[in-house]
Amino acid sequence: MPHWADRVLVLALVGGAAWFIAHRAWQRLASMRATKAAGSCGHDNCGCKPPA
Amino acid sequence: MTRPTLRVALIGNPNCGKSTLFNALTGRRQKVANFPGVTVERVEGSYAHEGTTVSVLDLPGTYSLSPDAPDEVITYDVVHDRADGVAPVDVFVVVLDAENLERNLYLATEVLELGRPTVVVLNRVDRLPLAGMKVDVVELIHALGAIVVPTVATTQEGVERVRHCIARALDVPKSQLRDPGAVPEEYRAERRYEWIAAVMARTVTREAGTRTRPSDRVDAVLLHRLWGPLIFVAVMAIAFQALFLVATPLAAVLQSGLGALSDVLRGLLPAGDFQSLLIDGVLGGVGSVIVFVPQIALLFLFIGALEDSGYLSRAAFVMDRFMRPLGLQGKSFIPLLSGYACAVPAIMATRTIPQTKERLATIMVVPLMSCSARLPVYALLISAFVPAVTIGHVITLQGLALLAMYLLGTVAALAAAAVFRRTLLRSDTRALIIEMPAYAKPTMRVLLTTVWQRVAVFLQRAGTVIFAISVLLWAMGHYPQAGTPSAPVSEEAQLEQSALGQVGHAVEPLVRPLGLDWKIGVAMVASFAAREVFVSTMATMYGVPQHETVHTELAARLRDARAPGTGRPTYTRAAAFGLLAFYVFALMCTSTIAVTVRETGGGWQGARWATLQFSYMLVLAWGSAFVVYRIALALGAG
Repeated sequence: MPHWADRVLVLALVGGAAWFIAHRAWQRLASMRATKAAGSCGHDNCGCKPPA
Repeated sequence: MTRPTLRVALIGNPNCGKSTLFNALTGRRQKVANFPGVTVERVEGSYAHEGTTVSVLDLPGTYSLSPDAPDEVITYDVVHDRADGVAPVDVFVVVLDAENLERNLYLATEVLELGRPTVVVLNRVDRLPLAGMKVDVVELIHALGAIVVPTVATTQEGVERVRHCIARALDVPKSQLRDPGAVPEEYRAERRYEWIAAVMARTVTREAGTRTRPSDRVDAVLLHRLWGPLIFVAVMAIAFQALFLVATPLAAVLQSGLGALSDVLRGLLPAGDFQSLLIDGVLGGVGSVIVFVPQIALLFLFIGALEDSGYLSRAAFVMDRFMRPLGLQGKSFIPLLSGYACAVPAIMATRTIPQTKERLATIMVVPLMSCSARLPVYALLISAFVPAVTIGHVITLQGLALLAMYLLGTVAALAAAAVFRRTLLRSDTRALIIEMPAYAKPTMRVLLTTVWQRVAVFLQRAGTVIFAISVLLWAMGHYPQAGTPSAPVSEEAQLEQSALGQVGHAVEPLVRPLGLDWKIGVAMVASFAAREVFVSTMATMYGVPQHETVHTELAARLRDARAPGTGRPTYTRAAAFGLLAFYVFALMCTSTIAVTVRETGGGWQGARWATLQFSYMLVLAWGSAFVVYRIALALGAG
């Protein structure tokens, strides 16, 4: 395998792993912001209802 | 009338055989998830009946529809069509334990009063003759005004009839039972019990002289103040010994399978970074999770067998008086004990503790119990720095040192629990109210289904995160590269130059006071993903090839390592003892952190608990290592 192909494959896998971790963190953040914006408690995916 | 889909929810008291009926109805078509925002498991499955797809939701066990514990809130919300993410239910199936009919009828009346399509399942009817009881099912149908199907879910008896009745439940008249009206709750309960007593009198006949069940005679021994704890300790000792005996060879088989896969990859791919990433990063990282699977499966098989046999409730009752002074209750004992095998299933096992603060305190201290992943680290350091002296022809000093590590972790876990329950997680320790189900022979099919559910959840949850982190750790250990493809450098030099090596050098000021150097710093940083990585990283640093004798060779290299210039040992015995103390207390396991986040509420709420857990254990680990190192130095172990 040429050296550049080796590099590309490594970059793809390491990049994919970094993207996976970043994506999960981003999803959590977005979910928290959405619930907070809806007037909820801010817990991730929490079923809390906004106070009356 | 045939509908394309039908949504069914199973409701019943804990230990009424609800989950067994669920498994009998749905077979293997199941999925396990959590209800949104809480750590209550949502188990769903489906089956096809006469052209209709019937999806079945197994609700958590509850004694009434008054919400108290998180599981009961979920059942309450589902019954009232207000549970987030759960579509309204078409048919309720109330499962009654025939042997404990009186208590089980309370929940049944509450559900029937809702006036929704309901099928009542009278389960475990095979035990009635043994208990000297007879139930008049026709009379019960008249009393409840609902379909009643007698079943033995463990043998599938009556299960097909349950499917048939579910399919027709929408077309039959609803029960005419109604709420006793706008009266205070205690009167409402009182009226319900009066009504149930009248129904019991009409439907149940008991043979004279059979009021003492056979299980009562067994309980007299198993719940005895002296014999109870002794029998419990013996059961646990045998079970854990069996667990280690069976899991170790299975883990070795998996390990050798992974080794064979590495060889295949090595043959297929040319030597280079990609090959190293797949073998050292991906296979190494994912392998570190997969080798835990036999332990986790066996642990849940063992806990499941104890639970289904009816002994687990007795064990919780027996241990309650020992756990109470620490602010915990009997139900915390099993998760703590499971922590010896692996903290991940142990933290998942805390779900049986209904009180939030007691459950959180248990989760926070479980990782202090010495899990099996610490064993390779203990084994390496003890064999390198503790003399193999036999004491009294029976036990070796090395064996004693290993026992001391386990005891140290256990004492620390119990003390930390007491501290948490008196400070951050202060609340009254509630009295343990626990049902003593009748003893029964566990069914292998049911047990295996449960074990598979747990293993799948573990692989899915911990595997993905571990996979990604392993790949990133590999990259940190390989870049920036010290050599070139034409002029490669040694693995040790590469590691020192890499980002991970630089982190090792950066943390050196923190490990110097413990008598350790940057190499140990690198191994400690690398082992934050999983403790056993410490051994493989040290093996890489000291150029010891990874094979069966890696421990012996590496132990000798560590013992003989000399500081350049002075010729003095690089690692003193005092420093090794300190390092051992560090590994007893430090939380170095990505899977545990991920499971703690999820089990303490998920998202930021879970992340806060996981951060606290990681931080307090790190402070405890460093502090203990420092104290142990200084004391050992003072005692001449330098």
